[in-house]
Amino acid sequence: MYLMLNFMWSKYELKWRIYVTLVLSVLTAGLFVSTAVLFVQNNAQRNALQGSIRSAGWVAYQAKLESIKFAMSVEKCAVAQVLCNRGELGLNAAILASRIAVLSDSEEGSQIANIQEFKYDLRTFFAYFSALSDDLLSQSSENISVDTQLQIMRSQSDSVDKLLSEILKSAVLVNKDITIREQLINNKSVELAFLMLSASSIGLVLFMAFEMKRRRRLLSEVFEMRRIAVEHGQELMDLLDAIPVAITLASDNLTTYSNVAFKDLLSNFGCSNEFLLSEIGAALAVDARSTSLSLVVEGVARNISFMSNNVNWLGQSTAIFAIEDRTHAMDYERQSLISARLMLLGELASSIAHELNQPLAVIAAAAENAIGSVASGKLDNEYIKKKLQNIIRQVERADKVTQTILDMARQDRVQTEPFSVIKSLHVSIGFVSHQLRLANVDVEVVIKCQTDCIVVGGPSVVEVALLNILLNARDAFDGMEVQYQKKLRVDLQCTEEVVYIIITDNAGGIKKEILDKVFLPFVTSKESSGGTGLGLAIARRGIRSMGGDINVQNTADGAQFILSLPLKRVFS
Amino acid sequence: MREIIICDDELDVAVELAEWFGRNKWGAVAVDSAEGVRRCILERKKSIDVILTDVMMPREDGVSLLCSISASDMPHVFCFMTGVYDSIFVRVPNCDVVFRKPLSLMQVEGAIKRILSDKGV
Repeated sequence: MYLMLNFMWSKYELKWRIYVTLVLSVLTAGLFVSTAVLFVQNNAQRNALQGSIRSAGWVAYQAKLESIKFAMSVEKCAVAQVLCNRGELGLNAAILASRIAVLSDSEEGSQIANIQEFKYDLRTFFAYFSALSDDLLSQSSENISVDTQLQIMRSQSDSVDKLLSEILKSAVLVNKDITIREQLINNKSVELAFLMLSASSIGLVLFMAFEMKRRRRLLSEVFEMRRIAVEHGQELMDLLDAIPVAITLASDNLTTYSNVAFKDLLSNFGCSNEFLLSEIGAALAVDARSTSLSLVVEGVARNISFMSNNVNWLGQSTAIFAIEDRTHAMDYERQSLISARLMLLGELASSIAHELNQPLAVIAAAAENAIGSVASGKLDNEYIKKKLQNIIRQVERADKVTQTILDMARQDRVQTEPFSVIKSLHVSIGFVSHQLRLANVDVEVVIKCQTDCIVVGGPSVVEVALLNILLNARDAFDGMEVQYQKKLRVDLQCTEEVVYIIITDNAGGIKKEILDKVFLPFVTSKESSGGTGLGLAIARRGIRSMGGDINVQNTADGAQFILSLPLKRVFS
Repeated sequence: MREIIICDDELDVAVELAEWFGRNKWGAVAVDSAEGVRRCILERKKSIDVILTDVMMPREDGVSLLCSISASDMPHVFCFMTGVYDSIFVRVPNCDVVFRKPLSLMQVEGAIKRILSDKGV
């Protein structure tokens, strides 16, 4: 029962457990009462049976007594005729016949164990003594024909006496057997069984009571814990309300809780939580890795970043959303990026000037040569044509330079456009190629991707990051001997989900003291040359905003930067 | 005939200059590296009157070239031309003039002639 209780306790709800416990208790009590009633009834029946068996012995005894009386009356008649009373003898015969009838056919007589064996003889004697009684009582005035009749009566009296003695003996044996059994039963202590039953029942009741008490204590502990949980839940909600990040909980598409920041955000945006969550759900449906979203609410562009997860909230599976309004932060980041680009442009100003002045120098010289040729009076059309073609080539070259500058200086209209990493890589390398060439750095670009490596974000973010890394590599070569073969290798590799740009130089590596800090703001190894220490910090933040990362490690003879970006998934 | 060696890693620039000077009766040679200038000095029997070289060049820049030329081989006039505006080059010893790109060939020639004249060459 205990196991059953435990089983039920662990499997079903609390109210069902209580019901089952009560039902089991009632059944147990009913079982105890029924057992007690049965015991009492059985005892009563046994006593009644013993009584009837004893009555059977008494009936046999009475019959035996009457047979003795009858025999005495017969003997009295045999001794003296004058003493013989016919009526008395007939009455004795009648009483004896009635006792024999009782012994033979009554319920008490049937209790004697082997009475069936004597029934025929008893009925025969009953018939004889009944007839004798009738005969004696109807002829009370006449004398008994002494010899013959008395002889017959004496014979019958002896026979019935013997028979009744047998029956009485049997009844006495039965009673003796009953007495012995009773004694045995009494010795075996029926009360002990009753006591054991009572004890076990009481024990069961006590156990049940103890269990009930224990369960009640556990129940009260559960209620207490639930109360504490509710209190903690309230404290948690107070805590969530104090967090400046907007948090909302939704279960079965219904919002179950929103903190103050979330309500403020909705109020600020002027939209409903259903709208916001449906937009997030749509973004997650397109790409489960989405963590940011651009919205236009009430004609205003909004940027949010979000995280979602499933939690168990008060026993229910609930989706939790943490949402941050990144509109102003992204504006700030955009400004930071613009500043970073402008810083790079400033750093590269001399290089840009050189790159532009080279074609301009050729153009000016070619034009002047052409004019000089014309002025000399020796008009050579082929020569003029050659000069003009050279001028056009140089103009195209200058145009590429200015286009690169514009690409670099442009402000991305959107930060989530798909673009080719390979193109950004070419733009970046093209921008610093002259600088690297002047620094005698051999650049090797190895592209091992079969596709265009399309990622989502701002191209200028990637270009700024690459330029920072490439210019750092160039600066790392400063002061090295002219004969040293400076090498810079750029590898572009793809997996199904990520594109890696690995930039490796042989400039000796980054000092161990700052290796794990190079991405922190204001950490620089170029204090003497005026490095701000912001370039790599801005680069990493920008790349991380696109879901990628930049890491650095030292190789045997230099440093290796690994830039990773998630590839845009193509959904059919 | 005056001799001029013009050096620029952007060979188109050097060639255009050489053409201009050649048309104006100069013995002009265009090379694309400092090493080319030294080779040219060695190969030429006559002394070199003018060396006009770019400053920013791969492997070896114009300043390094100037420093590497021995006094006996030093031309009468040593000129820099550069697309990078940096006054540091003005203060390089033995540098007579720095021309900024883009160049006016006529002005370059005129300036060089004036310096030669000033030096009495």
